[in-house]
Formats: sequence, structure tokens, C-alpha cells
Amino acid sequence: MNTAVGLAAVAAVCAATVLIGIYGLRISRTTGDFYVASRTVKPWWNASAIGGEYISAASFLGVAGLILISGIDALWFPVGYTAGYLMLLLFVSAPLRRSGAYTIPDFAAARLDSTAARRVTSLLVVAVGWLYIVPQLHGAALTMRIATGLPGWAGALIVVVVVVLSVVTGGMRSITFVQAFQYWLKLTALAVPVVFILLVLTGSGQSPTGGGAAFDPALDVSGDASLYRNISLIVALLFGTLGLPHVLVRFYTNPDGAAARRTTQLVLGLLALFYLFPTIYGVLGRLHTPRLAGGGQSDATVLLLPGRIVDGLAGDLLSACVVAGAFAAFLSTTSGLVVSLAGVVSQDLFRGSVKGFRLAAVLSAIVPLGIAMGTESLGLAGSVGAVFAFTASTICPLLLLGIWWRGLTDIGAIAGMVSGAVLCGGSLLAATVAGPALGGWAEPLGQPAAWTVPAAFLVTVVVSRATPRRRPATVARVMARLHTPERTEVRDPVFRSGKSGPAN
Amino acid sequence: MSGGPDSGEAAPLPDGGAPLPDGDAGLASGGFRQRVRVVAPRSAAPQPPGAYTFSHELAEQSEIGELFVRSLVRSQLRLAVVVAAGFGLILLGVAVLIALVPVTATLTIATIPLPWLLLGIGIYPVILACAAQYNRGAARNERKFRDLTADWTEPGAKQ
Repeated sequence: MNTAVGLAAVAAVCAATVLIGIYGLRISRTTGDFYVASRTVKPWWNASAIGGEYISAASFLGVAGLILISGIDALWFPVGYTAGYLMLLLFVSAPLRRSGAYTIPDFAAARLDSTAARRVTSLLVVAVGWLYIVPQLHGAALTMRIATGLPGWAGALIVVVVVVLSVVTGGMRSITFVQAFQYWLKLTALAVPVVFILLVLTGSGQSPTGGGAAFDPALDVSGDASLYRNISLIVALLFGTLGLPHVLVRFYTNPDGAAARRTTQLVLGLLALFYLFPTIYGVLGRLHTPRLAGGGQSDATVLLLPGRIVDGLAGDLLSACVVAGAFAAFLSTTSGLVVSLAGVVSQDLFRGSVKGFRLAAVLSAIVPLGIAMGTESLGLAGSVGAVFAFTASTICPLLLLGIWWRGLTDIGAIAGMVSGAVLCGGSLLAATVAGPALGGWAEPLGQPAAWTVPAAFLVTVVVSRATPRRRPATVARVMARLHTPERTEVRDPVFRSGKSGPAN
Repeated sequence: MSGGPDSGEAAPLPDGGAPLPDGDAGLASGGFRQRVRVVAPRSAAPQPPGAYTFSHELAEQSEIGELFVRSLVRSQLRLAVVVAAGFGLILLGVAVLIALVPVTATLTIATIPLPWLLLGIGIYPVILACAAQYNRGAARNERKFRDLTADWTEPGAKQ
């Protein structure tokens, strides 16, 4: 790939991100602005922003890479990423918006009336956030290496610096604009090259799918996934999305519960549209860049494909396009995570001041940078999938039971979260360290969600049942707050005249 | 963890209303602009003005209100579970179909095998349809709740 063009693409995306961040600064003034954009973000903006934040390195690069390696089994990933949002819509979006909490620990504290539950939730949220940022930085390192020939760490460092700058200066308000911009950037960055590629292929008389050869299972490098693996993966992705800290914080920017639902529905459409494209890249990659599958470089498929098919300057420009989109993905997901982590850390450590938020943002980005520099990527889609399994086993029971079950107690929630974290974290760790040596255990440990998620739910319910006297006295009020609709029409005549102005 | 809980935590779910309670109180009572320290309320979400109805107050305070809320929660949960289960069944059906009926792999449309079409494209409209269905149902449940509570609160509202 042409180094100068690659560098220019990275620089342009970073500059655009910082500029929009600075533009946001001018309208971001209060703590409310900093944390959640004062909840005045319109559904379309918000939906684009949610999509922008959610589509990470795993979606942009990882899905196509995985299709290259494991063929049709890889398609469960985008299906799960999207369907996770459906679960979010069904069980979480409106009640969580109505809870009035800023972060998941805020929700835990309010619902369970317990500082201990808050602390445990905070720790888990920070762990999840850090683990999720690491693959983004791995993706940035890979992209930097391929696009510019510079060492990988430069890519990770650039992402962290740009994110910290834009978060520290603008907070969530500008992040919303940045994220919304980045969804459309990512979509365009994948769609434009794909249209060109398809035109070039059909123009030269080739079938884009090689007459169906692209779908031949013989191209798969990995063995067929078992039904267990696919089901466990789907459980992880469906229930993990509920608990992702950067996804949840977005819902607080909706004006009310019904708007939260409408926004989520829009997001589903945006995600469905987006995932069409990584899939096409993966299929084309099976024909045109098959050698990447064997060399552990499969995540580079999206980046290298345009240059393989389209020659000369046009190829360089299309490559620059996908590089820019990839960087947008790393930047947007990382900044979303940093905002939500900073929200949590600053509340718990710095008593929620704006200065504390800034300091917390720096902390939240630097730790995963250290981890990313010290580790190697093991496949982006896979490592993000592991984070989903962990979230599904820890934060998801707290949210689902907290919203829908009056019997939840703080002790029960803590027991469930801790046991889920130990079981899921332990098995993922064992699978990473021991690997194939585990024999028949490798699969249930490497893809643990199918049993750790039910286990975490079970522990939460059993312990809550055993501690009925710990039920908070406020539960009736909280449930009413979570589930009753906000006022849709203003009935108070005094208020109405104040609202509609001179026309009345 | 040096930052202990502040006063905001004493009332876990503050009333909807002023986005930043300290600040607004200072402006309203003083009548002049005074310096306001802006700190994040622990869980005090700024609500749209007048976000909560009489029905909401009723729901929080009275026994009959609590009954209404319980029935609303039940109907919303039932709706969500039904939609989720329906979607889950479709998903499981696709997985089983692909895994256990190998003939699906030989059916192709424009050279693309049926399993790829189902997972790569076909499932997404199903997800969107589920979402639309749920949103309609959830709004309907809330409308019912509002109508129900309006009957109870109407006399009180006319005082």
C-alpha cells in the first residue's frame, strides 16, 4: 500500500475528529454536557452516534477476517452484534433511560440502595472497558503497520492521543457529533470501495463470487464450529451487548424512554445496513486474498482487498478510504469507552467534577494502551467476543434482574457478578493459557457464555432469595420510575401557556 | 476509592425536574446570577420539564398505583419475552437447518448458497420486524397504563 496515501488518510480522520471535538467544546459547558450531552440529542443523531460507537475494530476488520478463516460460521458474529441490540431494545433501553442514572454503577446504586453494589459494578465496568479498548488498539497497530509501514505501536498511540484530546476538551456532547460523523464515515469507507470493486470485477467479465467458489468450505482454515460453539457465541453476543458500558451511556442521551426505544430501532437498521459490507469483503477476500487466512493476518483483509483488485492510483485511493474508515472505527469505539469509563472512574475517585472527569479520561485510555503494547492480537472478532461473554456473565444479570425483578438484593447482585466474573474470566484465562492442552474442555472454556451466563443468573436469584430482608425499601418507587411512561402531553394549563409562547 | 457517597446518594432517585438542583435553586431564589458550583449529581438525570404526570405520582405513592405499575411491568415483560423467544426460535431454526440439513447448502440464488443468504442478509429484516413489533406493543402497553391511571387521577387534577 502507498505509504503517503495511507498516512494522509490516517491524518485526515484524526484531524476531522479533533476539529469536531473542538466545535463541540463551544456548546459544552456544564457537567451535564460533559457526561451525557444534557440529554438533548436528537434520535437520528443519537442513532448514528450509537452505531458509530458500536462498530468497532471487530466489526470493521474482524468480521471480514473471520469470514476468510471460518467461512459461514463467521456470519454469526454480525448477526449476534445486531441481535444484541434487539435484546437491548426489548429489555433495557426505555427503563434504563428512565432510571435517570448516568452510568451502570449509578443504576446499581439507585436500584439496590447500596454503595457496595456500586463499587463492585464500577470495578467490573472498568475491567470490561479496558478489555474492550485493547482490541481496538491492536486493530490500530495492525492498520498502521499495513497502511504506512510504521511500527504498530504508533497507531495505538495516535488513537489514544486523539481520543484523550477530544474527550478531555469536549466531553460527551462533542463525542456525540464525532460518533455520528464516524458511523457515516465508516459506512462510506466500506461501501465506496466495494461498489468500485464489484464494478471492476463485473466489467472484466468475472463473477464476483467466482461462480460460487468463494463459498466453498474447503477454503476455511479452521475446522467447522460445533453447534455448541455457535450457540454459546450467540448467547455471549446477545446478552453481552446489554452490559457494554459505552453502549449504555448512550441511552441516557435520549430525552425519554419512548425516544430511547425509537433510537434503538433506528440503530438496528443502521447496523443491519453496515454489516452487509464487511460480509461482502470477507466473501471477496476468500477469492482474492486467501493467503492472509493462513498467516494470522486475516484481519487485514478489508485493508488489502481494494489494492489487490483495483490497480494504480484508484487502488491507492480506495485503500486510503478503508484505512480512514478503520481508524474511524478505532477512534469512535475507544472514545465511547473512554467517556463511559471516565464517567465511572471520576464519580468514584474524583467526586464527579469536570477536572476529575478529564483526569479519569486520561487514566482510562493509558492503562489499555500499556496492555495493548505488551500483548499480541489473537484475532479481533474473537477477542471482542470474549469481552461480550464476560459482560454477559457479570453486568447483564444485574441489569436484567434489576429492571424486571423486585426480589433482587444487593448481596444477590454482588454474588452473581462476582461468580460470573470468576467463572467466565477464569475459563477464558485457562483457555488462553492452556489452549489445546485442555482437550475436550477447550471448547466450553474458550467459549464459556452458554454456561457462565445461566450460572451468574442462578447465583443472583438464589442469593437474592436467601436475603429477602436486604430488598431495598425504595423498590416500589424505583420500579414505578423505571417503567411508567413520561408525560407526553402537558396537562397543566399554566405550564402550557409558558411553553407555547406568543402563539397562544 | 477515596470518594465516598455524597448527599446525592441519600435520595437514590430524585424527582424529575431541575437538571442541576443546586444551580437552579440559586438562580431562582436570588434573582441575580451568582456563582454556582457545578458538580455531577450522582444519579439525578435532567428530565424534560414536567416529565412526570399525575399518574406517575400516583404510581409512586398509592397502593392502587402500585397495582397499576405491577401490571404494566408484567405486560411489558411478557411482550419482551414473547418477542425475544420468537426471535430466538427463528435463530435456532436457522442454526439447526444449516447444521442438520446439508441440502440447504446446495441451493443457490445468483451463485450464493442459501445458508449464506439466510445468515448474511435474511436474518436482518427479521430483527427489524421484531423491533418494530415490540415498539408498537410497548407503546400500546404504556398508552393503556396512562388511560387507566388518568381515570383515577382526573378528579384530583381538577382541584
